[in-house]
Amino acid sequence: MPTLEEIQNGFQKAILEGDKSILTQIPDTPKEKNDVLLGIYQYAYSARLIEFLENDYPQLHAYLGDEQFDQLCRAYIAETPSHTPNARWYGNELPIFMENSSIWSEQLQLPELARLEYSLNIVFDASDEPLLRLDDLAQIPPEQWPSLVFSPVQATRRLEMETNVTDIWNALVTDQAPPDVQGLADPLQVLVYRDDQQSSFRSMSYEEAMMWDKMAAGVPFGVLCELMATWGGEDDAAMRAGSFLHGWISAGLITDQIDMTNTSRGAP
Amino acid sequence: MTTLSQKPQPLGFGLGLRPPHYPDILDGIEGIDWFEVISENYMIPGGQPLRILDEIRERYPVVQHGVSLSIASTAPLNMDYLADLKKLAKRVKPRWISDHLCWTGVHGINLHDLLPVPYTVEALDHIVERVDKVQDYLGQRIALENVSTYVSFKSSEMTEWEFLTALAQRADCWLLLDVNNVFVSAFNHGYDPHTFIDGIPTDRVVQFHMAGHQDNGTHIVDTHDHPVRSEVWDLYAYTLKRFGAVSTLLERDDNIPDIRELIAELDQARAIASRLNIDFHSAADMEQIS
Repeated sequence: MPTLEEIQNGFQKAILEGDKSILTQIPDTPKEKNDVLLGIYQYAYSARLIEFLENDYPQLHAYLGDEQFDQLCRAYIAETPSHTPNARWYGNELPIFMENSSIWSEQLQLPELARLEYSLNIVFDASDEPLLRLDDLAQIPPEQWPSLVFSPVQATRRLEMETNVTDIWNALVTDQAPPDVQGLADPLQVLVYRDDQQSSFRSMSYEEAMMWDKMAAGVPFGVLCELMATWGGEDDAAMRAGSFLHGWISAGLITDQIDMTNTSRGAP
Repeated sequence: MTTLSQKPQPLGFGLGLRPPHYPDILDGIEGIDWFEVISENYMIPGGQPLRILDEIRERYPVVQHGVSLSIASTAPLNMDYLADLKKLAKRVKPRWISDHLCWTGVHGINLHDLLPVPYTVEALDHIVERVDKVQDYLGQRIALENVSTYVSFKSSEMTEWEFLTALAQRADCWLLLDVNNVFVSAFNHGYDPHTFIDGIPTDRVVQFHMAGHQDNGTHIVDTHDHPVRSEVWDLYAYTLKRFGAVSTLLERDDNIPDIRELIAELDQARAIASRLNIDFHSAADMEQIS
């Protein structure tokens, strides 16, 4: 008699590899052959994983159409068995899969669309964190400001897009025909964030994006101001940095976890 | 652990919580006594789903129902998963936590399906030991559900209902009796569903599931995308007669209709209970008093 482990190994092999050796352990039923019945599980496996991907990537699905999206899903599933107990995370690797695939990265807007949808999903159910308020900042003595290190909330993602994929997404989500794909001379700087419990994104100027990235990397505010002078000119550099910070705090993008102990003044 | 006399009181007639129904529920639509949530859907860091769940659990009794415990797997228990489950339970404070008598994968892979178990003494010993560990870790009894099966194994040494009964008694766990799954499995394997119902101990069952299925002629598939079929309502009536008032939950996972259609289906369950003079209310009232 086969052990439980042998049965489970054989059954899983049938589902993942199509090896039907396990059929010797499965009787026919009064009305149906055992291979038809085993086929229910084999069919359900890919159908269920495709459903997970459809839920996570609805605009990519709309853009590709049923047939091509199904091809993409099956290619992903063949390379990516699920290692997570939660269906929510199964599609996380799809953007990387597409970026690394010669077929699916040939049209750059495709992995970019996947990356954008992935980012929207991730910020949607990212952690809720206590937020920094403008009032909190008023309590900090001016001499400490240069050493303050601010942290973005986890419900944010930064992207650089080399195509007009955001226009494509905006059209798809409103059921309009997507525009023709265009390569951009300068990458579009994008911030994905959560606003009133819904995922959203907006473009950023190069200067704002650079400051955000350096802040997220732990660079103190004083150094950020110096970098602003380098990027956009010395005039009003500190004011511009303060203005960006004010906007981020007002939008609930900064946690209340301020590192006030940083004394580094060196360039990042 | 609680004693059997402390079996949870029936909650009445509930629905599986699904996102398309959030607005109506938060607006206070009537006709739903309690909700069952899929644990994994809320085992996430934060955001709107957890906030809505917080609001709903303030207003209704809630139970947690998982799909990835994989209690019958020969792979080690996933302690990270159990930690997340326990964390969610601490937030939700569910009336009970359930999952399925099945396995979902081995060698670190999750096939995301409720896969069948051979009803052998070896499998029983293995699962009893794991239920014991899970209940110790969670600090409460869990309920295990009979799944729909499309295949059986030649090595099985007992019936499914004998296996479930032995498991519940030896592991000291609750059972979630899915009436539709009994119907589906009985059709697929050619036995009388009433024999299954009669074989389950009444003192172990804390919940019923009801759902729709797809009849493919030679076999039935448990799809949860149709209303409950009349044959399954008949089996529900038979089951109610044997078990009395047990929390009844309607599941719909695909082709999800307006919530009013599902409430109308719940009313069918209420009508059956009423016709049989099975009083859910007094039991629920007693729970509120206690």
